[in-house]
Amino acid sequence: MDEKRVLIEEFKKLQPYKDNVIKDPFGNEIIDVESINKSAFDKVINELVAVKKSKESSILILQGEPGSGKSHLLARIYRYAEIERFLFALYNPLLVKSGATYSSLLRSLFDSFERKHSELKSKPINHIRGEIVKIGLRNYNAQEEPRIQVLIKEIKNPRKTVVPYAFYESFRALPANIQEKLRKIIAEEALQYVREETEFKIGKKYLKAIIEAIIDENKYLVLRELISEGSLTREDAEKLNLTTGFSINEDIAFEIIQSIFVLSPFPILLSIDQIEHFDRHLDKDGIINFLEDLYNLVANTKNVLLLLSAQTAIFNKWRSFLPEYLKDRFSNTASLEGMSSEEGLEIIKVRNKYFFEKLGVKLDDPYFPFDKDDLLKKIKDNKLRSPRKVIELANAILEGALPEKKGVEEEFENILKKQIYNKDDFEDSLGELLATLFNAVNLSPRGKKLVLRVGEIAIGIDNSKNYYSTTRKLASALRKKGLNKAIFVRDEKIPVREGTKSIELIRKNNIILKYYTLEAGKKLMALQKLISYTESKDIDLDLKDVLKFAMDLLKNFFEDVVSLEELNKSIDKQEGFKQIHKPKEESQIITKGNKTVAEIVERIRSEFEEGKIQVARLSQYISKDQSSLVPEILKLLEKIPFIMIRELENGEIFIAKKPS
Amino acid sequence: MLTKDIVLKKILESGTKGKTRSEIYGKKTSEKEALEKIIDELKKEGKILEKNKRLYGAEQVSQLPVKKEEVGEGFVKMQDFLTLKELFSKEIESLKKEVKELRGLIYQFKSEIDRAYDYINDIFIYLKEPSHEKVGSVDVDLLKMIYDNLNETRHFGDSVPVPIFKDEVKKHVSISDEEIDKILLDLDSKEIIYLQTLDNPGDFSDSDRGIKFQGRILYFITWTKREY
Repeated sequence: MDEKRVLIEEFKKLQPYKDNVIKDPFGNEIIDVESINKSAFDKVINELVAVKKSKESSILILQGEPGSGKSHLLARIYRYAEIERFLFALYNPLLVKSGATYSSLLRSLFDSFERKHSELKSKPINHIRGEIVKIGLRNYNAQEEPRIQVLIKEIKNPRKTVVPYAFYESFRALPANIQEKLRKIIAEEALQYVREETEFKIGKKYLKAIIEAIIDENKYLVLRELISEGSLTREDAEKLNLTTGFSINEDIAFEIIQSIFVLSPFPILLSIDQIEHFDRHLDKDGIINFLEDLYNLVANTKNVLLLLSAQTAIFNKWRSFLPEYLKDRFSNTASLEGMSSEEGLEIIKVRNKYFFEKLGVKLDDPYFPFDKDDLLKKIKDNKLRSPRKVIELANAILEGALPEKKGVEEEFENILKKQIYNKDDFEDSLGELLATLFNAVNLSPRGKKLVLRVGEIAIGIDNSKNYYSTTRKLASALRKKGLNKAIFVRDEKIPVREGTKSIELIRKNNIILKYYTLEAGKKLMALQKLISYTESKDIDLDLKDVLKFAMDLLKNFFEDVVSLEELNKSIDKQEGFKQIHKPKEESQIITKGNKTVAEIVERIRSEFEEGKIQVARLSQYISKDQSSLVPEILKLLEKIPFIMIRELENGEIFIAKKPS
Repeated sequence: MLTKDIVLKKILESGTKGKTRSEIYGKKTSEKEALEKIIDELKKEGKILEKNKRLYGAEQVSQLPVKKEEVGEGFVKMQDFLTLKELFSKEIESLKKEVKELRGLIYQFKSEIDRAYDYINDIFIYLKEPSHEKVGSVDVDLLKMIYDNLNETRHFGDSVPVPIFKDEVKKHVSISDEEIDKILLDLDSKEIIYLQTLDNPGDFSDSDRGIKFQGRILYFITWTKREY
């Protein structure tokens, strides 16, 4: 008897029923009962088969109540990627990046293609490489030495069916000089293939350089840097054979995505989880825009299955206000069907087995320390038809009573423990936190790096090598938008270099440099996850408590550079994150220089009225030292009925005469 | 003056050498037109054939020396081959396209068959059970039909809201909300349907018409497709 008690205590220490949320489908440990949600799994696989056959992209919605196993199912689907022949990618769209959807998707794709579960033979990127090599050599007939000829033949006409990564392996077995020579030919031919397969006239020189870098391990790291940072230093650009100053804008990002989808040997399952986040922070128009963006992605690409998963309630609510054409496009749905009571028991069995094996114990009773009949009765009586509810029941029985609900801090610590820091992901996390908690507005929505407006403060978040554009935007926010503080947030390990134009700009405009430590970075990344899981109900906490906790932590992060009042200002204003610029209140306008302002405005007014000019740069009318007057000038210009004002991404302001 | 017989004779006499038009009319160029008419008639009658502007007796063409014509034939063959190749490759391309389209159609057809099978399956199930199972006073098949119709017409994606379902049932059967609740709970226990919990009742104004169960609100119905 005592022995059993000791065993139970050891078992309890492993906390086998405490964690009931799959936080990372790429993770290696998953305890699965495969009959649960089998029909939804089959539906996803069937959709993938359809995409594979027709090459046409499609959309599938996965819905179920919280805890019904959506994330669990995604993890299972991911494990079947090689068996069912598809590539799995996770995309986590962000509110602050809504103007740069394709650049952030491109980054997610490359990140996902690098992930590899231990059961998989190869990283998805290697399958793509293999396919590129195969396509690239399809018309290659030059005579080579016999040994090389054999390898090339093996790629062009393999003797047996092989998974595409094998072509890449064969390619890598070639001597370095031959690889070097063939890379050029392969890139050219692959580009030709992309052109044939897409109806778009894509495939400029840069695309060839990118394809070449994908199959060249020496260049691949530089390519990854280009994807995550959007541009490269002159030296790195040269390495990739790109023109200096080349940068990935939305159009280019889209073309790269299209090409990768076409070059992929298998259909790509692009999964977007935690849709609840958008439901909470977007209004109806925002949601329609978001879905339109996703639809456009699918309509203009091949070989993709877009899988959106969220609670049933979300899509049901959205359907009530979506226009008919969108309703139709997002009507393909797989609902999770709930599990049977026997499957509930099965969950207990597999979890027990997994944890007792960790203790090195094999028991005759697979349900020990639970009573099978008692469990079954409870599952039935309480209608526990979702896996999470059964796990919660087991935890309650094991702990002797209903365990206390975990507090915000405890959940946060749990996430923090597993949080991996990444300087690029940090930028997104902090941006999203500022958008979610302080209604931050993205000042350059299509920009590669985040420059946000929070109340009267501009915050730039940039951990890249080329941060001049961020500093310039911050300086411009101070001068032209009349904000009163600018902060540049950056990892302390990569400080801003001395003697650069950026540091000059920073000093000249009194931009505050806020360096953060690795620990602080990790904390904010975990914080964003905590909010997201609470919104999707994967963590059972009161959202209000979580938001309060998050605000405190964020204020704490900024405490040395920003006062509480300044941060709170933006919340009071209740601005939507999409609203770009609100003119200041009359009383806030600085009186100094009013005379000059009036003169400038009058000059513009008269020139446009006389019809002398139709379009002009605002900078034509003001000298450099008058840039602080821009907000006031704009304010007055907006009142002139026949004048339109447009601000470009680079901060340049244009005035145009309205068509009569 | 050239007559039909004379012309034919001259041509036949030339044997496998054949005769050109000018060889026949010689210096009598005025007979050029008349000769042309005669040749046309002879050709129509099948008595003579023309090859490379030379005229032969119909039977003599088969005896034409092969060697002499080899180069010409070879050239013709190559040309024909090239034309054919071009024709074939065009044909192959269009066939390829058609095959692609057909494949698409076959796939479409297959999925339609699959869908039809689903219905046929349903019909068989329906036929198999002469006395339809009843839950309380209501026929389960009727409920399933109502569910299917709502699901299809309103695009609910296999999660039909309970309040909407209740309203629809009431159009067919005189029954109270509470009775429907009981029936649905019973079907859930039998694992014929799955009632999903609504986590944020505030999301739907009619959430109070969901099924209250142990402090939860069961709001969506999913009819289980799998067989246990």
